[in-house]
Amino acid sequence: MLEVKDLVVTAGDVRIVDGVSFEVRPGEVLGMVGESGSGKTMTMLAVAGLLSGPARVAGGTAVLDGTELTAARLERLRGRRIGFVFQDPATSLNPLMRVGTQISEVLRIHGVSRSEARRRAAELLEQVDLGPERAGRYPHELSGGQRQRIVIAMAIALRPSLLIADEPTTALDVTVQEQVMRVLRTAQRETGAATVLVSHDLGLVAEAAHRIAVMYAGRLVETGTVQEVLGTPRHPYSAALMRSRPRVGTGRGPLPVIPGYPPAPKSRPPGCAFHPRCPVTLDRCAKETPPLVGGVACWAVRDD
Amino acid sequence: MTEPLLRVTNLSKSYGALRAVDGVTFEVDRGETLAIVGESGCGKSTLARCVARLTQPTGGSVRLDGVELAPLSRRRLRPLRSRFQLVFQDPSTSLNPRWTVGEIVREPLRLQDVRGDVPGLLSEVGLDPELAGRHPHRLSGGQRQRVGIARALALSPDLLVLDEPVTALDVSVQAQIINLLLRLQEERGLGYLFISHDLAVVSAVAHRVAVMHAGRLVETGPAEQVLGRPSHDYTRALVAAVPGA
Repeated sequence: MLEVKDLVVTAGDVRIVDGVSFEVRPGEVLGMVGESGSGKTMTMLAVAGLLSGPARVAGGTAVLDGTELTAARLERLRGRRIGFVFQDPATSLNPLMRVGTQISEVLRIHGVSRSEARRRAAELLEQVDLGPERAGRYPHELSGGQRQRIVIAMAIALRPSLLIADEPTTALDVTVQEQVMRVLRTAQRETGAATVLVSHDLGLVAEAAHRIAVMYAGRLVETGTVQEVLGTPRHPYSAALMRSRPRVGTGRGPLPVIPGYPPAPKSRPPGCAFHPRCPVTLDRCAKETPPLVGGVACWAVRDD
Repeated sequence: MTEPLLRVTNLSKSYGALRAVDGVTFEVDRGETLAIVGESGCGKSTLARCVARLTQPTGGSVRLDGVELAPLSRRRLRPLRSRFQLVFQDPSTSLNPRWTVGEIVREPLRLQDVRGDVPGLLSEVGLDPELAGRHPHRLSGGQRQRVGIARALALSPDLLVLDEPVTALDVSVQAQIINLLLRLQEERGLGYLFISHDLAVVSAVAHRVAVMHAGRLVETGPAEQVLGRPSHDYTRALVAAVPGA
């Protein structure tokens, strides 16, 4: 179980992630959605201790199965307890190494014998719907979807208790997407890992996640089950986002839009960061930041 | 019988043995959007580049208002260039980073040696004319795509070739740009050749849809028919794969 509490990530004096708390239980998939600059990826990089550049954790805690994920511990836990799948499989694979060897390496580093590692690698390939003959291939000899499945095999090789998938299918074609998501879901179920699926794609999250966390301008604005958040969103931002999404079959015509643009981290408005774009604005919205209470961070919803 | 705005007949583009576009035929009328959908590598972007004459087709015909473009030299093509314009997927790579927004939008006018109203174009696409002095990197993705559209409109074209124009944008910004394109089409009577892999986006903008697979069009028809009651197996697979549809 992953428990994140009051996480703050800063870069210089900019608060990129501003007090985020959430939990993911074993076997559960949390879909983390939000637009660019909302802090969804930064939140998960911070949890995994993978922040780079000027970004650093400035507050809060992340606890995995009772162990606090401190920088020192993360060095040992990453890989073993935390598995990753990023958007571009090329960044996770060594172009000069056969993919079977890359999967075995993950196991070898953590003390598995050579013959046992080879046997497990073959099993893992099968688990991600790739035949054992693929083990001898180099990454460039595989398609994008196959490469991403190799990355999934590596991510689950050590049966992690936390799996983080950040836009795992964004770079793939829609028919390939479906297959990669199926493999990811199966791998997740078989390992029982608490899983965070970071995505901008609400449709994808609707199909793959149990619960959803919506981020806006560095904060969580709404959390709940998929049915709750997508079916009856309560935060004005989530509600507007659902409405503005084009859908197959609604026919040609203008979409309901959210005016304005999501703010850049360094120019977030005070109070509730969504208030300049919000259809329901109370006096306090511009002054006080609403806390996340009962799954929603909105003064108007609380005053109802 | 009047000529359609764009008539593409048996268009082909080969790279050696690879037939990227293989005998494609379609029409686009004034005020109409034809969406070409398909997955990466199906040839839809090559098709867009052939129509916009960024690359020379290897066969077939492209007629704009009845005028055959295929045999024209670059110089003879130039006066016709103003009639069709291209809008790209990623505005950050298609806008010169060293130029200001004003210079970018003015460039096509300067090339054709005509006068134009840059502040008027910026407000038409929903940008504050004050932004004319800014450089693209100081704009958001949505604002940059609006600059790309303003530049495409500068010479009052009849046809826009839009290659994945909202793919790189966030959901809330995507809806804004879709609405902008719908409004401009209505106000200016523009024909759109709209290239996209995203069936939901296509559903919001297209009158007609053509599905492209391995260089060929496998199904063409009214949007509600192709997306709602697809007849080709490949189209059915595409529609079924849309998550959360």
